[in-house]
Amino acid sequence: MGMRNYNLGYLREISGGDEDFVLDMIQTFITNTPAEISTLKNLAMKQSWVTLGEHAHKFAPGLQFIGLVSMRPVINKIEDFSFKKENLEQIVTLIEELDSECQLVSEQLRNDFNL
Amino acid sequence: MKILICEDDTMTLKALEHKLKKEGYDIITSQDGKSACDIISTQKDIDLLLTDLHMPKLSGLELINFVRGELKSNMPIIMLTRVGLEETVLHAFELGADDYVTKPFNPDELALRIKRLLIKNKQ
Repeated sequence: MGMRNYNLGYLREISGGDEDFVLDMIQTFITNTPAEISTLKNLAMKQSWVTLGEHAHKFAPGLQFIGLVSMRPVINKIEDFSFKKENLEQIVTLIEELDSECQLVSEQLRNDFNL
Repeated sequence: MKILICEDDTMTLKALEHKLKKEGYDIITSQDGKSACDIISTQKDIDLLLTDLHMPKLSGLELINFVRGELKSNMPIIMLTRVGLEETVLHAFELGADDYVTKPFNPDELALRIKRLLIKNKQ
């Protein structure tokens, strides 16, 4: 297995050894993430900054469960810039970065767990 | 012992439910504040409320206000929040919340905080 962009350490700690739970959480991440990111993109397009900040805030925990540590500063910036209405020109790029990484991780998870 | 978890993020809700069931609690879940109010109003055997602060329909703060102000219930309430929302946490304490846990939560710490509050509330 090559380098992986996810880390399931935290999820396994919560699981208490229940692999069905781990798989359920992975499947939930893979299933829900495209719609979540699509919502972020739509809100950015509509310039609904406060709602975008709230959605980014809600999206963050899912990344923690999958151990997508590299995306923590990205989602924090999306949230922060949206609430403060600062650096708005960077938000779309940040969401694209988040999207690419989540797609990559979802693909890795699908392959590694035969989903 | 029965715990109501009110959390609108699906993954966090699943994780909390899994951990607390493993600890031996009966769990009821809700994904918005309004339905949590309905559950608490009708089910009188809930021993503890674990609630997110930012939720649709009715916020965690409004939910705490409902439990303490309208229902006059002293059931232990633990808030779930992310780092950086200190003002909201203070407001929740003013409204009658007993404790809070930051997300991502430490599973063993959460279990201990719940156990401590349930014991304290029994005395």
